[in-house]
Parts: sequence; structure tokens; C-alpha cells
Amino acid sequence: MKKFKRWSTMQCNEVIRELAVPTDDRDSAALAEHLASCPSCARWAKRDAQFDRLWITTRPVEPSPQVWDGVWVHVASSLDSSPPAKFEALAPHVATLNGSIPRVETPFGLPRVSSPRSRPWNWAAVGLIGLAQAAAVLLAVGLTWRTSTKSQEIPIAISTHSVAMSPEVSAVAKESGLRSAPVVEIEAGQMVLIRVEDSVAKVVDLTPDRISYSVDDWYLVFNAVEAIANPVIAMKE
Amino acid sequence: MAIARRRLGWLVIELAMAALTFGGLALGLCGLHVSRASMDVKSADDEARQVTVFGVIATPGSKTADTNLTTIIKTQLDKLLPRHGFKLLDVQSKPIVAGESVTCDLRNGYTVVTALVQPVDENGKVQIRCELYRDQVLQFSTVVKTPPNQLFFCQRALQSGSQLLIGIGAR
Repeated sequence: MKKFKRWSTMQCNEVIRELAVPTDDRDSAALAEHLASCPSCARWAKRDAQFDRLWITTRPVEPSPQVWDGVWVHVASSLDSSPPAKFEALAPHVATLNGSIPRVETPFGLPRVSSPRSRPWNWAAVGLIGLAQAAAVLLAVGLTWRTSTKSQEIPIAISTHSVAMSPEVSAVAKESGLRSAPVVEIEAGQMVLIRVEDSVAKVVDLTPDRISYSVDDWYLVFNAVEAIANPVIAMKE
Repeated sequence: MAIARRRLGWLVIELAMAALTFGGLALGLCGLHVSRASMDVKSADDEARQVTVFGVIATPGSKTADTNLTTIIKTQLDKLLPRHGFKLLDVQSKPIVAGESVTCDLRNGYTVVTALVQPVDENGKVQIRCELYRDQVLQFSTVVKTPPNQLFFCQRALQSGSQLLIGIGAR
């Protein structure tokens, strides 16, 4: 399989690589010969030249050596002091180099020294953040503890209610000889039929085995039956 | 001078930390607990449920087609009791709160009373008590915990060979 076209002594991929990243030892004659005979690479070279012209006309101005010297002086001086204050002093200069922020407010070469008062306030801010976190943790622990205590109370209340009702039902059941089923618990999506036969009530699970991703038909039945009971008046004079 | 100022700063921070810590703990233990309790009481007592009950008599081998029953109802009832004819006896649907009930007349002396025991329990289910009466005599009773928006059925064989189907649901 021929992967690259060969027009002259240079291959297409070599020409494109040379155009993208020119090397010192390139063979300009071979390159020109290839571009003269290969329309695809010639178009590529033309677009590359247009892009170079666009970059030259729109690129930001190179920082002067004095600017770089100033940046390194600030970097060196910030190593033995607190990082946030020094970074704040350094940031405007760096941002200006990228061209993203307008000119610096302070004159270049004059570092903004943080005032002695700002350092205790920085510590105070750190302390307040830690304090807020501690308070939040304690608040969460307190709420969790109260919630767990509350949730332990709920089942007791419910079971008491159920127990209070059950003897009443069973007493009536004994008197009339009726068939009484235990509490039936139905899960979501389960189709249950409570079948009352001669002496026992059997709970039959009629949930289909296969999983259906469409609307449950029994839900539609529910809606239809409810509509029969409470017909909606769509129009009224 | 600088050391004294730093010590003062730390003292202020420690005092503020202690105050906020105990304040947050007290808020979690007392204040929010009260509002939560009142919310629970309201939801448990006042919540109403739309309870729907219907009774159908299913006759084996019959081709009775009740015009009140829509196609979807008949199709689904066929799955419960194949080769039966279905006739709608009664249907009731009411919003009720705990302690109230819906009564459905199933004719031939049969009545089903569906009472709302608890609108929502700790598992998010509705607790319903179903009682089937015949000539005012209790025949069958059970408590059902069902998810809302979901039907369940009770089936009772009659002496005539027909089946009494009772569908119940709450939302």
C-alpha cells in the first residue's frame, strides 16, 4: 500500500512537516521542486503562509528583557515571604504580559508590599473558615443525632397503632368466624391479588417476570377506573 | 508590640470559634428539631389520599361486555381471570384522611369498606384496611401497605361460581 505520494525527492509528509516546523538543514531546492509538482502540498503551503501572516499581524508585543527581569526579581523575593500577598503583588505584572488585563495600577518595578495589618487579618480569615467548617460538622452531627432519635420513635408509634387495631379485628373475626389475612405489604411495581378462599386468604404475586419499560397497564386501569368514578367535564356552557 | 497584637488576634479567633461551635451545636440540637417535629405532625395528620375502590363480578364462560369498562380495563381483567365476562358493580373514588373510609356496594348483600389507616408510613406506603361485609357481617379483613398510584385486588368466590373482584388503589 502506498501511504504517501512521492512527487520528487521529498515525500508529502516530509514537506508538510518541514512547512509546519522548519529545520535548519532543510533542502530548499527539493522542497520547492515538490511544491511545484504537488498541488495538494502547494495549497497547504499557501494556507500555512496565510496563517503566518495572520499571526505576525495580530500577535501581542514581546515583553522586553527588562520586564522579564522584573518578573524574576518578584519571584525570587516572594520565596521567603507569605505567598498570597506576594502573588497579589506579582499577579498584575504577569497578567499584563498575557495581554488579558489592562495596564498595571502600580508602576512597574515597585512591588506592592502588604501592610503589616493585613497579615493578622489573613490568619483571622483562615481561622473563620476553619471555624465555619467545625460549626457545620457539629451542626450536621447534631441534626443526624436528632433525626436518628426521631426515626427510632416512629416505628414504635406505628407498631403500637397496628397492635391496637389487630386485636379488634381478630376479636371480630373470632366472633363471626371470618377469614382474616395478616398485613399484606406490596412493593413498588408489584401486582398483588389477595384471594379469599374457603378457610384462608392467599396472597398471589402476579407481577410479570419480564421487565417492561413502557407505561404500566395497571396504572392505566387505575386512571380509567378513577375517570369512571369522577367523570371530568371537559366543556361547560 | 507585634507579639502582643498577634496574641490578641489568636484570642479573638479562639473565642469566636468556641462561640460558633457551641452555637451551631445548640441550633442543631434544639432549634431545628422543633421545626422538624411540627412538620412531621402536619404531614401525618392532614394528608389526604384519593382512594379508589371498584367491584367487578366475573362470570366464567360469559361473554358479557360491560360498556362501562373500557378496553384497557377488560384487557387487564382478562389477564387476572381468563375466559370470564365482567360486569362493573360499583366504583367509588374519594379524597379521605386517616380514619375515614370509602364504601362500595357490590350488590347481593356484599359491601366493601376501605379505610385509610395511615396516609404515608415510614416506607412511603399507604396503609389501607379492607373489610368485606355480607349482610352487615364481616367476612374478611386485612391491612394492606401499598405504594401510592398502584392497584391491588381482592378476589372472593361466590356460591354461584362467579368471582367477586375488588380493585383498590390510593394516590
